[in-house]
Amino acid sequence: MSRRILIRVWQTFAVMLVMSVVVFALMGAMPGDPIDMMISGNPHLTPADVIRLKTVYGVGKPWPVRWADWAVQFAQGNLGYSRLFARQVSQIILPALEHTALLAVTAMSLALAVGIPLGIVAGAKPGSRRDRVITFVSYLSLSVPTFWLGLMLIALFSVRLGWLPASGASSLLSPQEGGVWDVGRHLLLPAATLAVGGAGQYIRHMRAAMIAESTAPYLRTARAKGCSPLRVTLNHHLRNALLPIVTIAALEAGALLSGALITETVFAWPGLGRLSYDAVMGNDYNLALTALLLATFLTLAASIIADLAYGLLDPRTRAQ
Amino acid sequence: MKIKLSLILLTILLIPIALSPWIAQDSSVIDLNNRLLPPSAGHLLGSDELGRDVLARLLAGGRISLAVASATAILAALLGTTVGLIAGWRGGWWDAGLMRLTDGIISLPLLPLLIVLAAVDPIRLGVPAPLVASEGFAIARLIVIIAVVGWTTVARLVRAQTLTVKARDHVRAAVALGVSPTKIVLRHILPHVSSPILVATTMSMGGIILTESALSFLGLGVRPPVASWGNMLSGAMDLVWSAPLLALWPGIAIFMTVLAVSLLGDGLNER
Repeated sequence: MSRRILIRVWQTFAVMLVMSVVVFALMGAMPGDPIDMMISGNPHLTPADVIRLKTVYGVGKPWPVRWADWAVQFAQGNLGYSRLFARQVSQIILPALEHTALLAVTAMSLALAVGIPLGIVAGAKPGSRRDRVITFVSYLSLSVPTFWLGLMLIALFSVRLGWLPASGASSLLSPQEGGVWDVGRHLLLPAATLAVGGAGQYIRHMRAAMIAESTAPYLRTARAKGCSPLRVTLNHHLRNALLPIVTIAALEAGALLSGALITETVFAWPGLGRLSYDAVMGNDYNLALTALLLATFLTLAASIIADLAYGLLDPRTRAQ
Repeated sequence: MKIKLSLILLTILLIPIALSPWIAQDSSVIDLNNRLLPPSAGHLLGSDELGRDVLARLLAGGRISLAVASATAILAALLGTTVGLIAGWRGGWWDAGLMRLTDGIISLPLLPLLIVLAAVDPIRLGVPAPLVASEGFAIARLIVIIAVVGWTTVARLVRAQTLTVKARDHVRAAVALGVSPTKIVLRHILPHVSSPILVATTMSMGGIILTESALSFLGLGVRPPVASWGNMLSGAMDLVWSAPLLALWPGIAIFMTVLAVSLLGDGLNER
C-alpha cells in the first residue's frame, strides 16, 4: 500500500514537470509578446529600457533555457511576479484559492445533500416509477451546460427578481460590511450552478452502487435474522454501497478545487479557475504556470486521496 | 426506452437543422433598425443585438455545432482506436508507455489545458498566415484540440478488447498462417472491437458538445460572425441585463442535444 502511494506521489511530480514544460512551450507561441505589451502600455519606455527589460525577462534566450531558469526559481519557492496584477504571484494565488475552496465546499455539500438521498431512493427499487423519475432528473442535470444554467439563474434571480447579486464575491476571512450574510448572497448562485452537475453524478453512482450491492449474501442474512427493512437498507446495504461514492466525491473535489473555470467566469467569482483563464489570456507566464500547476497538483492529489480513503474504508483492498 | 426518447429528441432537433437552408431566413442579414425584437410572426424567436433572426442563427449555429462535435468525436475515436490497437497488440513497452500517457492525460485538468491550446497563435508555430485567417481554420483547430485530449476513453476500451480478442483461436490461427501483423489487426481484430468503439464514441459526444460550446462561449472556439450555439450564448451574456431571454434558446438547443446523445449512448451500452 505505502509503496503504491509512493509511486503515485512520484508520478504526480513527473506529470507536473511535463505539464510545466508543455505549458511553457505553448505560452511562448501565444500572440502578444510580454515586452511588446509593456511597450504599448507605457509610452515613456526608451529603447534602452526595452533592451534591459528583455534581458530581465530573458526574452532573447530559447524557451528551454527560460524554462530551466523558471524551474530553479519555482523550486526555491519563488513564484515570481505577475505582470497582469503587478504583484507577487503568491499574493494573488492564496486569496483565489480561498474563494475557490469556499465555492467548492459549498457546491459539494449541496450536491451530496441532494444526490445521495435521491440515489438511495432510486437504487433501492430499480425500475420503479420513482427510480425512473430520479434517473431522468440525473440525465437532465448532467446534460445541462453549466454556463447556460448560470446565465439563466442570473437572468431569473438577479435581472428579473433582483434578489441576488449576479457577480463578484466577498471574502470570509476579511468580510466586508455585509458580513457573512453578504458572503452567502454572492455564493448561492454559483454554488447552486456547480452543484447541479455534481448531484447528477452522485445520483447515478449511488444508484448503481445500491443495485450492485443489492444481491450481496450479507443482506439476505440480515433479513433472515429479522432486521427491519429500514435497518437493512441503512445499516447494511447503504454502508457498503457508499464505498465507491467516496472515490467519486474525492475526484469531484479535485475537479472543483482545480477551478470551476466556466462557472467562475460567468459569475466573475475571483477563484483559481478564473485566475488561470485571465492569466493565460493576458500572457502572464508566472501566474499562468503557477495556477495551472496548482490545478494539476490538486487534481492528482485528489485521486491519491481517493485511493487512500478507499483503502482505509475497505480492508479487502489493503491486502495487496 | 432511452433509445426511443433520444431518437424523438434527435428528430425534433435534426430535421429543422437539416432543412434550414430552405425553410429559414438568411442568418447573416443584419438589420440595425430591428434590434432585440420580441418574438413575432416575422421573427419567430425575435431578433438579436444586430437585428439578425434568432431562429435562423439557431439553426445555422446548430449545423456548425453538430458538425464540429461529430468531426471531433470521429477524430477522437480514430486516435483512440489506433492507440488502443497498438497498445493491445504490441504489449510490453508500447503498452506500458501508451497507457501511462493515457492515464496522464485523464488526470490533467482538461479545461485550463484546452484554453492554453486554444490561445496559442498558430502563425508562431509555422502555419501560413492566409490559412490561419480563413474561416474554416478556427473550426478545424477546435476539432483537433478537443480530439487531442478526448481520445482516452476509446483507447482504454479498445486496448482491453484487443487483449481478449488477441487470445482467440481465429487470431492465433492467422498468426500461425503467417498473415502480416497489420492485416491481422485490421481484418481480424478491428471488426471485433468496433461495437465498443461505437458505444464509447456516442457516449463521448455529449461531453464534446459541452466542451465545444464552452470554448466558443469563452471566445476560443467558433468565432463570430459564424454562428455556433456557444458563441451565441457569449453574445447573449453581454446582454443579460437588457435582453435576458436571448440566452434561452441556444442553451436549450445544447441541453436537448446533449441529453439526446447521452440517452442514446447509455441505451446502446445497456443492450
